[in-house]
Amino acid sequence: MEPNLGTIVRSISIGPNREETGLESLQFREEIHRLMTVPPENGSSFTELLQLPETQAMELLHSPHSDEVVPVPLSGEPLHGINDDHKSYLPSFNGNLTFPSNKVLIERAAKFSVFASGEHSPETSSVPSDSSANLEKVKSEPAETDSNPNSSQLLVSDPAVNIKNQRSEKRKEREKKGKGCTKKSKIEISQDAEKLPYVHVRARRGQATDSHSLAERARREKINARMKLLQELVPGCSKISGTALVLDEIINHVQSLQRQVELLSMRLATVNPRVDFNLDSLFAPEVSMHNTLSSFISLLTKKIEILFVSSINNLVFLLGGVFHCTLAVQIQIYLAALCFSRNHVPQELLGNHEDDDYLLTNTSGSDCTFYVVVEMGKNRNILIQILHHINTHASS
Amino acid sequence: MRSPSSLKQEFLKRWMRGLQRCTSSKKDMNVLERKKVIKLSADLAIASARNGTTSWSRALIANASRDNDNRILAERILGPESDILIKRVSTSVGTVSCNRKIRSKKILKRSCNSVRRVRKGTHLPQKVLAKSIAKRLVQKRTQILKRLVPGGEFMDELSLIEETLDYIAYLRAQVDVMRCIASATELINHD
Repeated sequence: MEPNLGTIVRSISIGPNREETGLESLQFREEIHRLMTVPPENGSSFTELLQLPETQAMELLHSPHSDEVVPVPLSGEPLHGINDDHKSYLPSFNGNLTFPSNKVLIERAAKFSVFASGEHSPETSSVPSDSSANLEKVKSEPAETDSNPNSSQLLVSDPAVNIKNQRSEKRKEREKKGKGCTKKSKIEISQDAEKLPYVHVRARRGQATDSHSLAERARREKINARMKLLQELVPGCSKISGTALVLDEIINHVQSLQRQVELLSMRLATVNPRVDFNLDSLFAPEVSMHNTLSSFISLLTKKIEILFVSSINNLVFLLGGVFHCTLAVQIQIYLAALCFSRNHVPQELLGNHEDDDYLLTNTSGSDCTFYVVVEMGKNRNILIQILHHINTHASS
Repeated sequence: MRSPSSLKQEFLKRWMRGLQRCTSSKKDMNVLERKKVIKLSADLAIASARNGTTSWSRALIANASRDNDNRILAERILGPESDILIKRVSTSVGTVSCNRKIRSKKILKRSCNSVRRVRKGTHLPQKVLAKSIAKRLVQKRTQILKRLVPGGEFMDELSLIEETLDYIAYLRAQVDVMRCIASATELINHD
């Protein structure tokens, strides 16, 4: 990374476009400093950043000529043709490079800085129409998604690299890259696109202009948006930058959740048989319980009133706190006692309310597992009715 | 997104109903069976709550009904609407498997290309190397994620991320509810 930064700095001071350097050298310096403090772990986005200049230089060199058809005498060779053309275009460009507005840069920078994963092959289906008038609009639309602090980093690299590319060293580097870069395929594709007579390429800087890469760009943006959502969902992920690490966190989270489900189901499985003894211990002092049961019930109704006042309407909250546990416990114990003594499950309590927010009792045969799940949604009345019912049963 | 508490309520309802249906017949189950039943009914509960709108729920149901042992159990747990659900699931899974063939070819091609490219570039500049390394890391992790999320192997990245979002929300709801009930029943048993 360091030598590249060095070349950027050098090229800024040397570059022939003195007007630009004069205007923006201050900005460059600040942003170079910012660039240099970018943590190296962010390698993926940074390499994207550095990848960017090569292709974008081409665009820059071609962009002032958007009005005329660009007679690019490109043969099948990938990059050598470009280099020759650049050389031929160079003299005419000296004072002529117009930097597109910063807004466009920022938009493009935002897209390039985040997700550097491998979707190179132009398999995406959406192909926007390639009329010259619409091309720029189409390209600017997918870029409207997000603006990034990373945009400042790219801001420096774009004009810097523009200058940089006029040096032969960078061209050699590009040649040396060989087939290792997918940008190359984009370069080829964009060359082909420029061969066609009707494509007037008012290109955005640093981006190929063909439909494939446009579609790919749109797709990548969608993916980035979703990744951001995921980052917010998974705790502790929002500070992490870099796709691989975020994915790591997500994977860990999912795995831990799945493991928790396993453990909890094991816990629940072992819990069941022990409910039996409740009934025995309950049933013995039944007589004495009668008095206390009615008071129980009144107590319960009072508690329910309290609960409703505090607007709790879900079992989850109910069973979460100790206070609410006692409520459920009492209801459960009472129902258990009721069933045991009457030898039947009070179905009338359950059957009608199958589909509402209500009291669910799961009674299963010999296991006698009573899960009393009280869902007090809007139907508090039902619950109170049930309790009254229990009360009458108790007193009878 | 769906509100978490409504999700929990829905899950709870279906789970309880499924448990009811399932345990009403069998009297003796050892711990493992019980655990399996609980987990299965929980999974099916949430999957049916989604009603086949998300891919992972379909895959869950499909997996559950694939083994013949589980199938009867699953059908019973799902209840009367199980036929419709399973039919819907199987049709969607069929299309998925067709996509899988196409996708596996693409994956094969892509992996061959990338391997070839990296090998030839002996003097790759550092940035390209770093980029390819990063890409490979991300690819490895997406593969792991695909294995984790049910039914994720056949999806492309975009839908994989969406499915993961949904799946995480569901897992959270499930864990919360189960934990509450587990602690509650343990408290009850200590009385």
